[in-house]
Amino acid sequence: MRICLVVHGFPPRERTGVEVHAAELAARLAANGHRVEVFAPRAEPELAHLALRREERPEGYAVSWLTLNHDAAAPRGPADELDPPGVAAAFGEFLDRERPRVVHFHHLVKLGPKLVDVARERSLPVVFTAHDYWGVCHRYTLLRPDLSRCDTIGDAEACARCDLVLGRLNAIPDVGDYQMGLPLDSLSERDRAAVLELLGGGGDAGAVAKATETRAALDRERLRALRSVDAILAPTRFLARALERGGLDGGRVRLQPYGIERDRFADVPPVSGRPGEPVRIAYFGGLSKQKGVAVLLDAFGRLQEPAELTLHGHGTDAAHVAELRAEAGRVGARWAGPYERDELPRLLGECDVVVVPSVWVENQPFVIREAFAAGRPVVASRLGALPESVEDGVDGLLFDPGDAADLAAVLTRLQREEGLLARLVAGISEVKGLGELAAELEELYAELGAGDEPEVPEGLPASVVGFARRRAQLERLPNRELFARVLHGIEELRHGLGAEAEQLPFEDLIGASLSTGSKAQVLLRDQRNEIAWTQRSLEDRADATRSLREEIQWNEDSLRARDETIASLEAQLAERDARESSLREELTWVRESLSTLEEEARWLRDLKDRMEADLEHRVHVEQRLVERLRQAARVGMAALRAQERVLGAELQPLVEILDRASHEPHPSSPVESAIDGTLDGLAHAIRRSIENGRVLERELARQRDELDWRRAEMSAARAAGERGSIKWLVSRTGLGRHVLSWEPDSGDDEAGGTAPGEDAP
Amino acid sequence: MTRPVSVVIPSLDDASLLLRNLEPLVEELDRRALGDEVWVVDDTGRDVLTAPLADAFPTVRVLAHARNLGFAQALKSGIEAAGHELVWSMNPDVRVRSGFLDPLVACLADDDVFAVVPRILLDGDEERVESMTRLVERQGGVRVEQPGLADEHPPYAGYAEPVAFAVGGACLLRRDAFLSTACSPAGGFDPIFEPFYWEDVDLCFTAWRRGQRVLYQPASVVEHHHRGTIGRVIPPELVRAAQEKNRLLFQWKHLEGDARTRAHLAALYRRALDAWLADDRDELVWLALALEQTREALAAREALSDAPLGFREALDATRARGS
Repeated sequence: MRICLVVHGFPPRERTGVEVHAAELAARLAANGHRVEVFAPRAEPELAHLALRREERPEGYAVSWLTLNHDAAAPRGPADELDPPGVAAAFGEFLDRERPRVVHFHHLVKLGPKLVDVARERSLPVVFTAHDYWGVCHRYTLLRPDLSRCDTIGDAEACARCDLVLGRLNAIPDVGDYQMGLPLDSLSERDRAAVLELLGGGGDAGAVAKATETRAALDRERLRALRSVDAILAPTRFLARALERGGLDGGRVRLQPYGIERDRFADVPPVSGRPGEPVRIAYFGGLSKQKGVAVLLDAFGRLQEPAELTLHGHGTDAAHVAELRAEAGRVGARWAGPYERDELPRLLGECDVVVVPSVWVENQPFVIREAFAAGRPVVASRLGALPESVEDGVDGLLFDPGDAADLAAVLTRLQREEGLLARLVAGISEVKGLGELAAELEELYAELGAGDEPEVPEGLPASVVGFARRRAQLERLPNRELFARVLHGIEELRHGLGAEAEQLPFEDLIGASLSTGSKAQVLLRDQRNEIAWTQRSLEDRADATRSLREEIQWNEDSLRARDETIASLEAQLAERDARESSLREELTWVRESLSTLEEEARWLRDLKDRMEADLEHRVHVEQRLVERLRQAARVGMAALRAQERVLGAELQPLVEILDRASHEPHPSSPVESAIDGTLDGLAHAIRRSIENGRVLERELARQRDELDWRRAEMSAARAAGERGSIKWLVSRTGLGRHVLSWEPDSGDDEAGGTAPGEDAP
Repeated sequence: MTRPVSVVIPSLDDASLLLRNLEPLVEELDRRALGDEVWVVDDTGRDVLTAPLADAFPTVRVLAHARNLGFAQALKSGIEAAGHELVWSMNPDVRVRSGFLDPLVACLADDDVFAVVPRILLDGDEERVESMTRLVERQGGVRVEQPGLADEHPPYAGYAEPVAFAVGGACLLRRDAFLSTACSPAGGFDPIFEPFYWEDVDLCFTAWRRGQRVLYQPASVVEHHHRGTIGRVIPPELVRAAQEKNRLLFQWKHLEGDARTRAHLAALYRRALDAWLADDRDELVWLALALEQTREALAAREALSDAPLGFREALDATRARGS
């Protein structure tokens, strides 16, 4: 059979369980007489991305390496996770060239489930071994980013939340290797809270919904591809159940435990179990967080009695490895570091018991089978599928996952309980060999039709069937085999054509064949031209990219400027809003003031009315007063005139005497003095009467002036009242102008008032 | 002087086509009244033609194969059954025109004429003549050309001319010559060309090498309303594989001369290398299919070693116009 094994990595580039298992299987199937072609990706910066290189291995199989260089292979979107650009096409070309009769996928991470479609399109039987939970968990561990175990298989939102958390962790600088998860106490308070919120069902609902939609689509597509597989092999029942829970058809999933090259361990010396000697504990495997090595070191540090612990393995999480190493030093464990596969039997021989302290739902770690093959019992977490491999108290011991105290108790029991180690060693059953696994697979491949004769099209005339079948048989051969046959055939033809043809030097024929009309040469030239053209195009594109970058820069600058403008406008708006709000408040105040002023105006009108009434009353009183004064004056004047006339009559004789006396000088007599006194008194009385009359006149004049003033004031007050006392009062406050300035078109009559510039009356 | 002929029509289950095209043929034979006979070989393996033909053309005889044996065997069975020396081989999609037979028979008056082909008008189009055939060598390989179909219409000379081969689907040939072992080990078409294609080219070219001639007689006209059985029931990739395989076998059977052998072997290596380098699987499969028959091809070549004409001479002879 021609068998294609597809795996996400392959030795010597990758040396972990699945990759090594695939290599062992390839060698075994090749040894069984099959043509085995391995298809695996690798990074090779010196080669073009997607370049395919075939390497023939001394074990009898070949590896076709698909170059996936990191920069070029980095997913540019969710869809690339399912179908990394160019990979499916490269796989198709590989299948067309190598013509396997069955494709057995061991992993599709990095390559994408689209490869299943590529094989199906060629009507090839397809087998998929689920080495982990990738079929139902895109993180393939059922482990959340906080290292908590996931039991929500098939819940796209839960998976999307893992994505979002990973995105968040990715944005944290110096967070270390977080892909498999990390303890949250290594995060800042803020990041820890955000992660917990996301994992706990909170977070930005929009972002979660979008991520859920994306994840659901990817999961659907992955499941669709896997559902078209003919047989899904699960090494454990636990994994099989998880696949079924995730929506993979139960009938398609078959239980098939691993087999290993157990002969490699045939010479491992048995467990010494010498009394009084410390138990030699060993760990083999990766040093990533989910492997639980920290738990083992913690437990080891708690042991009361002497024991030895050796850690074998390596990890890519440098920070975590450094922590483990420091902790190993602290508790006195030996740090052995990475080991070569060939060294494993010897290293297993140097320990008494192997611990598998994983904190994730392990499937079927190869190291358990290898430990058993070397006669070493296994102490393992009671988790996932591990109890299917280790039977508690029979060939090993189980402890509560992540519980260092329990692990310490189990190891202490191993130290103290006499004969326990020996009983566990004796309880180890024979491990399934790789040969048995290969035989099972051969049977499966055959069952799926990998060894069947090709079918010829239906309805062919019988005379054509033989030819059609032969052509189909040749069609199934790999290119290189066809080419080899053809070269051999031409050689036979040459010999058959007779001595002359036979004597033609092969070099001449090849020279002649290549020197004229070689299509390959033309193709190469075309390709060279195409490469040159592509290079030119690339240069053009680089130019275009540069100018686009400049344009983008310019646009970004413009956008920045626009942002600034927007910010400034927003500030203005905010200011205006604030002003509006203040004006509204002022307006309210003004309205309130207006209403107060209206009341005041009403009061003033009343006051004016009262004042007018009062004024009229006063005028009336004054008129009467004036009248009385006039009358009094008239009376006074008349009295004065009468008095004057009396006095005149009385004075006349005196005047005459005086005249006479004046003409006769003589000394003053007492009569004269009396007369003089009487005259002085009369003159004084007259002067006083005249004075009184003047005072009365001035008073009258003043009364008249006051009356006139009051009349004028009353007249002005009346005019003001007629023109609208409210408007006048509003304009007097100046508020009308404010109102008009911010709400010019409001049409609010109440806010109108006096027009700008209009003076108060 | 005209002579009676046996008509042999290998056929699959295309009864309606056959019934339609038998009509002018039978009319022509009746007109000739020379005792011509018609054999229809039912190659379906299911004897589906006896009944319909018995009603419509009682004089037509049906030879039903127990199983499908292919065109070459069907024609051979029919010719073996034929009662006359001259055999008009005809496919069911050929429709004869009145008077087509006599000019052909006249051509076979010369003993060295192995077969004669009429003016075959593709789909009845006067401008598209299938009968003119020639072989050309190019880059160490041989190709068939039909200039009458490629806007290259040699002027009608008014007399029979040599052609490389007579199209097997419409030609007049001699029964005994066809069945003799001169051209193939068991007579008839060489079985190395099974399942189809190039067998008629080889048969006629072998005749040329044996010193006989194959002629094109433009005075005889038939129409070919193409409804190729092969194209209808066989996938095109299989048809192409048969063509390419048989082209190579033809060359190997007739390969001779140092320079030609060298050029051909170099061409083979080039094709193989080109196909390998360009991942041209089809080409590799064609080469492999042909090379699996190397021994038979070389045996057939050996059987021709006593032929009076070599490949080049025969090729030249096919082009000797006015002969």
